[in-house]
Amino acid sequence: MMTVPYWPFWLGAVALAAVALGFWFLFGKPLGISASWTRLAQAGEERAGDEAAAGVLEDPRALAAALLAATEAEFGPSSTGSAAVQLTAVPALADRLPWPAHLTLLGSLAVGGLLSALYRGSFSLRFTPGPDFERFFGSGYLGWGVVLLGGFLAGFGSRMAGGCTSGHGLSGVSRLQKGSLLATASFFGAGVAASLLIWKVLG
Amino acid sequence: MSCPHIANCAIYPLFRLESILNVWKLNYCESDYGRCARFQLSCDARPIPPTLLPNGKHLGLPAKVEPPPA
Repeated sequence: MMTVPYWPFWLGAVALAAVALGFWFLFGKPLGISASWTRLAQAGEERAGDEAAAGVLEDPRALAAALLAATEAEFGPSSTGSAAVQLTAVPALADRLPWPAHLTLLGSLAVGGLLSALYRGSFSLRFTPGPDFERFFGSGYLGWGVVLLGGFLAGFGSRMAGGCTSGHGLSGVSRLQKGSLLATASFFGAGVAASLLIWKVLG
Repeated sequence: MSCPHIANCAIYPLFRLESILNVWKLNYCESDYGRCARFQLSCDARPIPPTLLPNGKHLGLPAKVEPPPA
């Protein structure tokens, strides 16, 4: 089957920048795959919190009274002085991305990958990461175990760092966030070191 | 040192009166923010309930006072 060449690097860079920055300008939130998965995994817990909060947030007067009471209970009656709490409008709930945005993002990963493979003519179903992977890490259960361990470590690391390659590498770096620059340098550095180790030393 | 979420903590918009918000900020966000329940949840990457206060309590509806019988 004839395959179409990959896009030139600069076109890929422009496309990624457009997606990352476009997401930020559209939603005011950084794009992040691990964050979307986290929202999905914690949907039940999040819904329970929102339902519990709905009553007090829907009523400005109740909210004002609750805030005043909570402040006085925590810091004493003098903490609020003679302040008259006035609410002019119901405050918005925490500004979170809607569910369709997360689902669209996650679904687009699979659809985009499929379309790309079909376009290149390289689409095929396979159940191993490839011959090079098997040469280094083995096949069968051992290979799957390595894949699972890798997935676990990637998930653990992304939660520990507060983001993954998309969140830090695309969204954070494009906005020149110091933490993201450091995180991206770390995981790209580790990736280069691991590649060198595998290909130059073990290979 | 202030809390890293001090610029965008989601509970701030609930406080429409700045003097009350400042009391909480002074005692949590701008001082010992490590004991803030919202900060602790964020460190664990857990969802943060909208009405969770820094002291770990939730804003609740005040008890209704029944009017005296006529």
